[in-house]
Amino acid sequence: MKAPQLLEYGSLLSYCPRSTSQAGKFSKWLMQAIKNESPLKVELLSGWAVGISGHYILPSELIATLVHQNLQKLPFAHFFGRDVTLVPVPRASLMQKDSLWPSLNIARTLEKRGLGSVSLCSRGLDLSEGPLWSPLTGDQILWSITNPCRWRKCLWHLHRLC
Amino acid sequence: MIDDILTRGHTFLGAAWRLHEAFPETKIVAFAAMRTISKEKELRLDGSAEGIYPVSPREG
Repeated sequence: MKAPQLLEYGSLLSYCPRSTSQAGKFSKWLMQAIKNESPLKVELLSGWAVGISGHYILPSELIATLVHQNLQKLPFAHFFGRDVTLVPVPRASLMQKDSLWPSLNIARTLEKRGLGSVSLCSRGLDLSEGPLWSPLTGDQILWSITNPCRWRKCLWHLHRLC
Repeated sequence: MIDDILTRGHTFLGAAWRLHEAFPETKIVAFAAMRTISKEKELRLDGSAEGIYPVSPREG
């Protein structure tokens, strides 16, 4: 089977690891909050986060709100819609049961706003010597992703959580 | 596909390949809440424009 040659992508925000400017520091702070799903104190002005005052909101809620409120102005608006399936990608590190999964949180909050439906989820299993079938559920394993950072092999299988 | 942080895209590419195997006729795109950039001048906090807040989405 021929692998996809191009992958269209869009990102709502960006951050620069080396930046020392005010905006750069803000972006790094925001990145950490998104990764850890730490509640943010932000103020929405014209639909966009403008600072660290205001009411607390979870980063996943903030992301979904920003996408929803500004959807028609985003260059990747066609990524979302009621006929779209939202698939949270697994974390690079091995996930344990009940471990934080920011991608799933974002996908679910997007779903709440009618921007798609979360129907496929994946759960990591440490199966370096394991079978091609999940020992937990007997489901066939579909995902197989190698962690490029730790060189730790994980196998992933589809799992309906919603 | 949905992810929180996009750095080099390895996770997206691996997942895209697996999805493509399972659903070869389905269009696959990737959305990340935040993307890592190397040049500060490309910094964006609104999905399109350079970001000194307050920020607003690009028109059109």
